[in-house]
Amino acid sequence: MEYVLHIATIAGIFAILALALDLLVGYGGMISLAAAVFFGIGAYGSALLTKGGMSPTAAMIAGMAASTAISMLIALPAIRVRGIYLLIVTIAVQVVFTIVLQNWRSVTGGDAGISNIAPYSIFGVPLRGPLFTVFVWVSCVAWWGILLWVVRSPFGQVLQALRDDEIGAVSLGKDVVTTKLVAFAVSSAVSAFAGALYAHYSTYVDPHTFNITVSIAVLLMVMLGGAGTLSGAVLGAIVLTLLPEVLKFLPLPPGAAAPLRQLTYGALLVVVVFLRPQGLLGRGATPTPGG
Amino acid sequence: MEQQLALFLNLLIDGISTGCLYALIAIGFSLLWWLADIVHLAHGGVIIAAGYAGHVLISRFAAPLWAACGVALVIAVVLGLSIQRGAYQKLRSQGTGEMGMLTASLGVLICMEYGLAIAFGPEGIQLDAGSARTPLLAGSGLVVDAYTVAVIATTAATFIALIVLMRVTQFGKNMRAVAENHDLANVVGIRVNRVVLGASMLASAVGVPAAVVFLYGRGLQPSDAIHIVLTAAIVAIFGGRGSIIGALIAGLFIGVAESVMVWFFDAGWREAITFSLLYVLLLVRPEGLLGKSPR
Amino acid sequence: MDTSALSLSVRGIQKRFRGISVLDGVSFDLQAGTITGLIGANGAGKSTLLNVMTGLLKADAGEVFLRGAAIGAVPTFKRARAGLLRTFQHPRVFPSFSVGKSIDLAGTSAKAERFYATLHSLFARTPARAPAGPTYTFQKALLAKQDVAASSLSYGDRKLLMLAQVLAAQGTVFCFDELFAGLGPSVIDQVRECIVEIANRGNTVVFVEHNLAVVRSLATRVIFLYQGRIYRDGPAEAVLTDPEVVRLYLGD
Repeated sequence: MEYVLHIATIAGIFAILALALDLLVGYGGMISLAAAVFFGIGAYGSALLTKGGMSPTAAMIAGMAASTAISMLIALPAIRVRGIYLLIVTIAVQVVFTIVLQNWRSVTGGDAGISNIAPYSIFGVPLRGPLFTVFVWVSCVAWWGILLWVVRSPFGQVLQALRDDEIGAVSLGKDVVTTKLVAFAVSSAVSAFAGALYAHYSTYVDPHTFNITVSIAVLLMVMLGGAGTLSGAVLGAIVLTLLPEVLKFLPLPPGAAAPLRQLTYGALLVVVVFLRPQGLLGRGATPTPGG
Repeated sequence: MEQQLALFLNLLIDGISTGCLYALIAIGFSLLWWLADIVHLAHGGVIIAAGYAGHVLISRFAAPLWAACGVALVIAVVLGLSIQRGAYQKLRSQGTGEMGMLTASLGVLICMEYGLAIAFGPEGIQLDAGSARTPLLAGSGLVVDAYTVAVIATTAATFIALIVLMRVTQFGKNMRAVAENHDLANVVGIRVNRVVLGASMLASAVGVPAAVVFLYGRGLQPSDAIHIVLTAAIVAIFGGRGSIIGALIAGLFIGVAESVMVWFFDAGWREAITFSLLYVLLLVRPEGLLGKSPR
Repeated sequence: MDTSALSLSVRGIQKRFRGISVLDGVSFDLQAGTITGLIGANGAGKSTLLNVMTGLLKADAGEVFLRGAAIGAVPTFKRARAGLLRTFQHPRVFPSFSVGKSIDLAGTSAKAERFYATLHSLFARTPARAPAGPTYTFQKALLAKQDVAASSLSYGDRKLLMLAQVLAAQGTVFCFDELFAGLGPSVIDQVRECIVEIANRGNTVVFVEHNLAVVRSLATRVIFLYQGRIYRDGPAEAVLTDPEVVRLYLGD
């Protein structure tokens, strides 16, 4: 039972992360491999601030604010550059972030990370076990609803129009600059929320949990489930959280499990693009972002 | 020789050696990108696979270097071609957009990286250069060995060959025509698909000297794949895509810059500097230092 | 000259592509309430001029003025918000949008599109904006298809959708690029009527067109662009019957 709860909690946290990335990638058409950066800012932020005495909720909000600020590092170039150039910008930020986490030992604890993070609590009441799992999924549904509202709003329509045809949208007067900046701001804030939850749940954060491999996994969750559907992001997160658990039941030589999991991710990425570029829940008729 | 100067010069030499390596891994990537707008992220995987092939031949079959290179070349070319035909061209004909192509390329890279990790283990491989590592200018304080000279010589030879190929041969001229304008090249009778396939063979081939340099130098592990292609992309962007000279200059510049950075910064931060430089470059001049201005 | 009536002006626009001079010192003024035809052979620089005016291209030299203010440094979307709108020679659609949503998108105000408006609407009901009723048959026809995917529209319908969008976006200076190509005769009449109405309301229209019959029936003034320069600029009838214009335009 505890095992099931663990999987459910992790799936829920990554669902929130995937929802955040779907806003950028699916609805905004801006490919990013920096999801783990904002995930990590939220996580480390919560870790450091709660250890410094702040309440978990306040620390979470502070982490979200910091994440939004740092996201401007990618958002500002994203206005001018796209495609592979934007991808490299996001990779650059992701790699530098991991290096900072590993080397700024005085603050981040380096490769050892930060441990003994207290569980999440509201008004001093700690949320443990099934209660926390419920909280994670309630949050996930809440963010799902909010993001649904956002993408259906006029703002969301502009974001999608810019994704579909930036020149056309801009020629009709749509504010490409503010829209992209806000999309990054919202996406990174929600990612940081997920990061805060993660920190309190695992009670321990280290640089390897927030590196490019994780960013790739989150991108896969979005692509697999169907970019630009929101529900696809949640489904993708659930599937990809369950997958390594499924692999555990296969008779594999020792040490092969981890690379095999990554190999499966890679293979899935290729298969999805080949067979069903719109992902599991995407609509077949409409083109995928960039397609 | 004065201690500080010797140290600096050694960093410089190390930087040039690394820079040559960077140029070698970048040029294949850069050519494909320039020619057909293909972001061949799997290039990193091809290079590593070539390295493993060479290693298997040398360490398990005691093959001479030239034979190992030959086999590695064949494997690299076959891999590059398969990815080109089986993945990129197929997806292009399906109407896949940019994001799909990038994702697929990333997927292939990951498959190669972890496939190699499963087959050979994640620890990595390396070959001992043996006598090639003996310092040549003993007593001067300068660390120059036959290996370094070989690296520079190989790079020079490869680049000269590429430039000759580009300027003199029909294939080179065809490549330039296709890069300029696909449709126009078609109209004049150039088989664009053939040229692209040829270019991907060339790109893979140029990766083999890089793999050999890696093998006898810092070694190779599967997890280097992303890092390698990322460096290739950075050098290609810095030098301007498609520019052979650009790749060489950019590679050397970045190699030397990274090396000299050790003078000022803790080694752990080295990469952060490179990536920050790249970030600034992309903001200011995305077409690279030597590329043509877009507007 | 009464500068307040000058809605759009260009001065000395130059643009080169790879050493070829596409626009070589183009200057003219457009007055509010007028319809100006822009004609010229393919490659004469007409679309490039439109791109420079709207900001999609930066001129190598020269300046564009909107209601007297220089807008060379203003990004395209701001020019559009200020009322400078255009349609494209090759019809553009937003592939994931329906016809109705495309028009709604065009008509939504900048204020409503701000993220703050989205947050605000989470908590408070904003009164529904009353959409402007369709006046022309082609608009009614589009509204009948409002749930149809824009990407499945025919060539002609896509052009009409572009027109409907710029109408919804409430422009003051309209630039049409080959709007009439591919439209059936009855639709051409509607669109003509529509453009006349736009000008009567005090807006400015400049349109690039190859169909000289349409130009003759619509424009009061015609500018003939030849090899990147303005060769003739005057009353429509005079320019269109000028033997030099006929020779250079049809002879090319």
